[in-house]
Amino acid sequence: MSIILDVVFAFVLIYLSFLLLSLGNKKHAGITRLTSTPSPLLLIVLHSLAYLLMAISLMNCIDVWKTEIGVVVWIGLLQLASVMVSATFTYLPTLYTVVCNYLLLVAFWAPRLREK
Amino acid sequence: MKGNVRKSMTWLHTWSSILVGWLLFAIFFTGTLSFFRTEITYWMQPEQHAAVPNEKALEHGLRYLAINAPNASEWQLSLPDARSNTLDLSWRDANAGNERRRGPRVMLNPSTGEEIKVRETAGGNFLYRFHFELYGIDRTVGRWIVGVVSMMMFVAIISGVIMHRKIFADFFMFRPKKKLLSWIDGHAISAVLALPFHIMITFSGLILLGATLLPFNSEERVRHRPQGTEVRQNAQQQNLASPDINALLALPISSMIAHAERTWQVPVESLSITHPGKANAQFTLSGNNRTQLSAGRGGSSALVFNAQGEVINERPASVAANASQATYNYLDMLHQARFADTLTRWLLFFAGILGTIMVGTGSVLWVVKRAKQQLGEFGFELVRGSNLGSIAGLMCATGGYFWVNRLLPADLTSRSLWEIKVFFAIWLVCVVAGFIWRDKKGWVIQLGFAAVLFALVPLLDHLTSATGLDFAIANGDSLRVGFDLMCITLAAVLGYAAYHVKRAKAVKAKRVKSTPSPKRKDRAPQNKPQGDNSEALI
Amino acid sequence: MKSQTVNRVAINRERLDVALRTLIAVALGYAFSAWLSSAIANFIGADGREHEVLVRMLFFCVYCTFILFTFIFDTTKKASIVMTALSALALCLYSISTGL
Repeated sequence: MSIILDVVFAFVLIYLSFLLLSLGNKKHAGITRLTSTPSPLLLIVLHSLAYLLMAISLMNCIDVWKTEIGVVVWIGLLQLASVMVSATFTYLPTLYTVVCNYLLLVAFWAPRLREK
Repeated sequence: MKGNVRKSMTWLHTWSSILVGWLLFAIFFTGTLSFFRTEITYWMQPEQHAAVPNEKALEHGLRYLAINAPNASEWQLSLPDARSNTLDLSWRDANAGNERRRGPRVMLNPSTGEEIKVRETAGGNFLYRFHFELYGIDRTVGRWIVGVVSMMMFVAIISGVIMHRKIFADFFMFRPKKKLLSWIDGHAISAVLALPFHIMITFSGLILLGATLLPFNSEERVRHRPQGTEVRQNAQQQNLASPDINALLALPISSMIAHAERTWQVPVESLSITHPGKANAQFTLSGNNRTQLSAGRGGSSALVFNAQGEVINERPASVAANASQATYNYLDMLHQARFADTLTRWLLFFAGILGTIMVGTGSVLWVVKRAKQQLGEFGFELVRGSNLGSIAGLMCATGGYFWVNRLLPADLTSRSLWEIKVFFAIWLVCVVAGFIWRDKKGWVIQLGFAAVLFALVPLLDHLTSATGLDFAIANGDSLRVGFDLMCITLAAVLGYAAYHVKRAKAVKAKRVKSTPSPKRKDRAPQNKPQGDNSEALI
Repeated sequence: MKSQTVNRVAINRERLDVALRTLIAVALGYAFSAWLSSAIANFIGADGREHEVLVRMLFFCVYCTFILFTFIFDTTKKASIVMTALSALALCLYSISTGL
């Protein structure tokens, strides 16, 4: 049972990190509160947060499966999550918008979200 | 070559992949299925479906061995695990001495202890062997063909990465309902999002075939037989009294298993008993406890107990001798996925599906892009026809393979050969039909036929198996139910594809022209269609 | 009429270029990769099974790179000269490494 929880935890972190990375694309960012591609500074913040989430999930995978197999599982989850993010944007844009908006609130204050 | 690096790579990517796309798809598809070859073989031997894993499995196994192999020097029991519902027994006769011939093997139902006699089937192993040495041709020739095709695939992957202009910007971009653009996006997504897997699987496949492809590099190796940790008894010292069943059952094997599982945190999968029934009996327990892929196939450790249940030895996992060997082993293990637990296996399978989609979309995209300009030309019509047979035709052949497994009588001689013959016969019919009806009609017929075949597989399974699907669901037979669900999923995908093709505008196949039309550079410049930035990628 | 002849010459020329590059990439590439990967394994001092697996892994990386580079050059002439020279160098390296 605990292994399922570990997998879900790692997957969710990676999924969220890919959502953050996807905001670098104009079309993706356009349907969220950002309305356009983020500024370079914001991009750095979003990417750093994304890589942090990925690193935590990698540590989790290594903890459960040890290094050699843990990396394999992590990369497998990366592949799955990236396809899920693409599918979410294409077929469930509302879900994409809602989750991204919540993630962006984590990055910084709501009043500063809109790009001038 | 074409003026700049990107254009050269585009040209190379196109040619290195389209020439062999028809075979690559088959290799990728059968290879992906091979991740689950044990499960496929299980489904194709419905006699096994009555087996239900049970705590009494060990007791049944020991009882059977005590009655049927009382004088064996070694007993081996493979317990039911995540990939097998049966108890598999084998033994080595005392008179066999030190020969390494395989002894008799028997399959038992773990809950009843009854022997299961399974039908002969080509099973998942046919798909596995096909994907790296094809079928019906000399093994070395088959491996050479697969090797050359894999090398072209490797070149195609690397050149594809170089030519992809907006690889990060368009990382998650998929634009449906846009004809050519959708095909390009589908191809890019399936390739880029699983790129680590594609590079790994192609490269590791090549190095696994290295013995054939690099004949200058073979090392003359003398295979040293590993010395066992226990001394083998010779026949003169054999005690001819059969093991006492009650004494056997009283042995603390359960506590040995519990100890091993506590130590490793994984289930014990096999148990080997040397000198069974004697005071000096030794019990070697092993399971999938490997944590190092770089150790290679000997990467699991084993625990050896005595008859009192005490650990007397630990056979440690092997360690790679050097960095090169470690890297090679890592790639070898990844390609064959022998180490993989359920989650890892499904993740690899998913990536393999993406790879199969990558090859398929690439082949179709080539045709869609050139349809207006090259309709009627020999090369174009050849690829158009071969796409049908290699993609939709292969689906029909695979579905037919599973069907014929259940429809042929279980006791037919050479039935595995018949299964394979039917597979190729269906494929051949589809390939020929694909060349004749190579437009929309052909796709709808073949995809539709394949969809129907796969959709009815669960019904076929229910009607032709030793036990019904209700039994499987009630007993949590995830192997069988998982197979049936995957068939339904595939049927849904194929059915949707057939429906989608039926609704699309038809581009009628033209007879191949006798005189070739002017090459692209000699034609008048064309106006690019609105919103189609296909030239951005290819 | 004349333009048709010129087109046919150009097409045949292109086909010859492609054929030559393919031959260089495949045949010379195989030899180059074999020599270079064996030379590297020899220089490192690997032997036995280690030598075999190292050569296998290096070979395909080198081969792929060779093929890609053969098709990058502007002209076939440039590609032939450079790749032949590199192959000769690889042969020298291999000879030196086995001579040691």
